[in-house]
Amino acid sequence: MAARAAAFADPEVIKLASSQFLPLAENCSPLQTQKDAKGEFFRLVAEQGHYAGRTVPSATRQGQYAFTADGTLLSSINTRDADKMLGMMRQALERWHELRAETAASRVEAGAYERDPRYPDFYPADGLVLKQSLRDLPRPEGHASPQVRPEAINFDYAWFTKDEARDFLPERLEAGATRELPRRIVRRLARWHLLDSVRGETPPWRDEHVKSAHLSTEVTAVDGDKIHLLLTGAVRNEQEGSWAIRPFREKIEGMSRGYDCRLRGELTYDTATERFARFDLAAAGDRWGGTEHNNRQEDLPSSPMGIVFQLASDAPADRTPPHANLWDYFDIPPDQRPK
Amino acid sequence: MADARPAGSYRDEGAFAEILAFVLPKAEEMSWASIPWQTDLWEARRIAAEQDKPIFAWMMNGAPLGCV
Repeated sequence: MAARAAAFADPEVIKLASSQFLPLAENCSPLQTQKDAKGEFFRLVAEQGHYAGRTVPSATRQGQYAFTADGTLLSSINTRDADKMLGMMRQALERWHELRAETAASRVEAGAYERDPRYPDFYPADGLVLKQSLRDLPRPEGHASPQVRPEAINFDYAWFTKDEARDFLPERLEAGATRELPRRIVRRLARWHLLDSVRGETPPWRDEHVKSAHLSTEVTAVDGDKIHLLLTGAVRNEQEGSWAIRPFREKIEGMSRGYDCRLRGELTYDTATERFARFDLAAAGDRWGGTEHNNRQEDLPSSPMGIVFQLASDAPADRTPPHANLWDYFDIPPDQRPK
Repeated sequence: MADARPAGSYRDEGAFAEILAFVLPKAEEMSWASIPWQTDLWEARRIAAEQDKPIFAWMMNGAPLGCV
């Protein structure tokens, strides 16, 4: 998250990445072990780079890599510093021009490949894709934990299949018709999206941590093909136990974390396209506690946090998957998952 | 939403528009998103070959443009 606000907010980094390169941002965790052509290609590049061969303290290959389409590394680094990143990018471009002066571009075969079945493409192209934004809400003067990181903001994506998107609609599409949203929708929002990830990632809730949750919609107006809906509800998530609240540190007993919120959304469904034309959903309430990677160690007391969901675009960047094990996220039974 | 509200009052129905406006990112917080990111290595490779450009990849354990 810090890199977005640091190196990738630098105007020169933005200019070079946008004009001189084909920019790519992707989760490398699956690629480090994925058994298919895409995983093999990533490892071909990464094993020429800054963490080549490394297994201790971890086997991560994260960082920034510049390379040719046939897999020749030009330069690599792992940094959030804009000047260092610019140095790496310029070095890569110099090498690129040298290579081009020596040889013409080689032919690249990048057609369809057989995917590792553990990593299917779950993107619901004909369903509902929401972009989620999270940040702390202002705190009253004299609050037990004054806000020290007001700039913190984070993002995620929420995915629903076409069938699931229809679950937001009452059976009768006429003003006044209501629907209690089914478990699969409430479960997904409560467990994977009503989380305190403002300052960094945090584990999803388990079913037993969802202490109460109800969401419903009501048709407020019908305007030709457009069905206007009001979504309301409340969710209380809470977990108690022992866990670390600093990265890679010891577990602490007697920890508690939670988010107790109300939700309100204004939605418009288009029956002609069978898609939502508007989806503005806001959750607001109090979060408390911290986890190993969400950077709340000095900010454990209850404080207000807001979460907003809106329709995502169909740009490649908005195809970023939800922060989740997608097999669990879509509640796919264990016997239907690849071994 | 310049001022903090009393505890609990963020749940008022009237706060919906304020919360929406407050939480959504401002333009200056999204400059990194102006880069025309691809998010699939295989597709990026195909486009890079087609455009004869080098690839600049930002790889993280977690989606760099999502929740990390």
